Amino acid sequence: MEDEKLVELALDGDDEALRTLHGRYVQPLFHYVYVQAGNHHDAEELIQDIFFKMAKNLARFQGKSSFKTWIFAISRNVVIDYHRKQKKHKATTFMPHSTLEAFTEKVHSAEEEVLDKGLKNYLLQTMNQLPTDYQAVLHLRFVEEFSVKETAEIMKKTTFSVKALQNRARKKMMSLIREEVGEG
Amino acid sequence: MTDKNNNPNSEKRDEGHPFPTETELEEAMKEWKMEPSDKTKRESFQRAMQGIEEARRESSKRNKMAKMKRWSQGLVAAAVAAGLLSLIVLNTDEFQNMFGTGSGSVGNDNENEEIQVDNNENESNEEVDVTDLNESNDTNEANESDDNNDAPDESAEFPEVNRPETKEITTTPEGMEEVNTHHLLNDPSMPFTTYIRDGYYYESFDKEFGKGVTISQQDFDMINVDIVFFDDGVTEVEALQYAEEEWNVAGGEALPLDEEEKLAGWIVEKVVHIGDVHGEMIVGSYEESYFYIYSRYAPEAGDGWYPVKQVIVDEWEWKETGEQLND
Repeated sequence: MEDEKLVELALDGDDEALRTLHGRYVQPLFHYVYVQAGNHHDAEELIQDIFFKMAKNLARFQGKSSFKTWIFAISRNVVIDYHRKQKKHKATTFMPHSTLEAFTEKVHSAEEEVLDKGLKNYLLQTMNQLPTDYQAVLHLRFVEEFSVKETAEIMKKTTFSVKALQNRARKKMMSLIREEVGEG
Repeated sequence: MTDKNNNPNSEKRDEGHPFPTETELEEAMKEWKMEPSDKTKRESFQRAMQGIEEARRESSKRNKMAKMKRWSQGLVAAAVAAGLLSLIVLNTDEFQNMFGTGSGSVGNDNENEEIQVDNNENESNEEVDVTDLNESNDTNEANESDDNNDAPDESAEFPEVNRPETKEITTTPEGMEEVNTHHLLNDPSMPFTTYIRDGYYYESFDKEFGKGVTISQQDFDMINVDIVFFDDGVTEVEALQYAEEEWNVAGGEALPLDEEEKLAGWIVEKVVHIGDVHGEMIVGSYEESYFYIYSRYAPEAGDGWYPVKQVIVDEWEWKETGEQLND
C-alpha cells in the first residue's frame, strides 16, 4: 500500500497503518540520525522525536512531495535543532567499532569484503568529521539515493545549492579519507 | 596527493591499495545500512502513537471549534437580518396602514420617536437596508455551505487582494532601462503580495520555525530567493540565530556592511556573503513578528540578481494594510 494511503488510514484511526509507516522508515531514519548524532544514545532520542513529530503533524502532510521526502525533511529539522542545542555543528565524536556490527553488508569476494570493511570504517570516521550539511547531503544523495530535487526539498535549498554542496562535501570526504591513509 | 586524484571518477584502485575511488565511495555508501535495535523500534513506535493520538484529538477539537464558530456566526447574521427586517417592516406604509396606526401606535413613546426619525430619512436609506439584508442572506447561505466542509477556510486569513495579475515593471540592470512583465505573487499563507519577473516561479514551504515561499528561475538555477515568516513567539534573537544558520550553510564569508545599507526601518539585520554561492540575508520585522528574505545567486548571475530582488522588495505590499514594505 502506498505511503499516502497509509497516512489517510492512520489519520482515520488505523493504528496498523501507522505501524506500517513506522516499519518502513525506522531503519533509514535511524541510520540518518545515528550518523549525524555520532552516538547511539542521542540517535535513540532523535528517532523518537522524529516519529512523534511526524505523527503529530501527519494531517499537515498534503502529498505535494513524497512521504519519504517529507519525513526526511522533518528529520533534518530535528537534527538541526539537536546540533543547535548541543552547540555541536562540527561533530567530532567517533563511533565505537562495535557499532560496525550493526551494519548489514552485501557479501562480495573475500578481497572486496575486506575492502568494504575497511571502507566502512573510514565512512564512519570521516562522516563524523564533516560539517552537518555535508553529512546530510552525502547521506541523502548516496545512502538514501534521493534525487537532487528531492534533496533540495529536504534541505530547503535550491538544486543549484545542493549540487554545489554535494561537490564540496564529496571532495572534503575524499580528502579526509586520503589524509587518514597518509596520502593527503 | 597523486595525479589520479585529479580525475577521481576515472581512476582505478592501485593493487593492494585498500581505499576507494570516489565512485567506490558512492557505491559503498549505497550499501551502507545501520539497523536500530528492537528497543529503539519499539520506543519510537510508542512515540509515534502518542503523536497520532494528539493529532487526532487536536483535529477533533478543531472541527468542533470550527463548527461552533460557524454556528455562532450564523446566529449573529440571522439576528442582524431579523433586526433589519423588522426595521423595514415597521417603516413600511402598508404595515403601518394595516394597523391604522400612522406613525406611533406601536410600542412606547421612545420607540415612536425612533420610528419618526427613520421616516424622515430619504429612500436611499431603505435601499441600503435592503442591500444589507441581501448581504446578510448571502452570509447565511455561505455559512450553510460551509457546514458541508469541515476544513477551515484558510483563505479568509487575509483581506482580498486587488492587484493586477501581471504588471510591466522597469528596472535598470547595469544602468540600462529594461521593461519586463512581472507576475503577482499572492500566496494564501503569506501576509504580503509582490511581483516576480516572468521566467520565475514560486513554491510555498514549511520550515521548522515558520513558513515561506521560495522564488526560483524556471529554466535556470542561478538565482533563488527565500522569504520566510517565523512562527508567532519566535524572538528577535531566535530569528537572527535561525537566519544565521541558514546563510551559514552556504559556507561563504560574511562581508561588512556600510551603515546606510541597514537604514530601512523594517530591517533588523542584513548580511551579505560571498563564496561558491553569493547571498544576501535580510532579517526584518513586521508588527511583532519576524521574517527574512534570503537571496542566493551564482557569482556569474550577479547582474541579473539585483533587479529581480529589488522588484520583490519594492513591490512588496502587506495584505492587511496595503502599505509597502519600504513605506
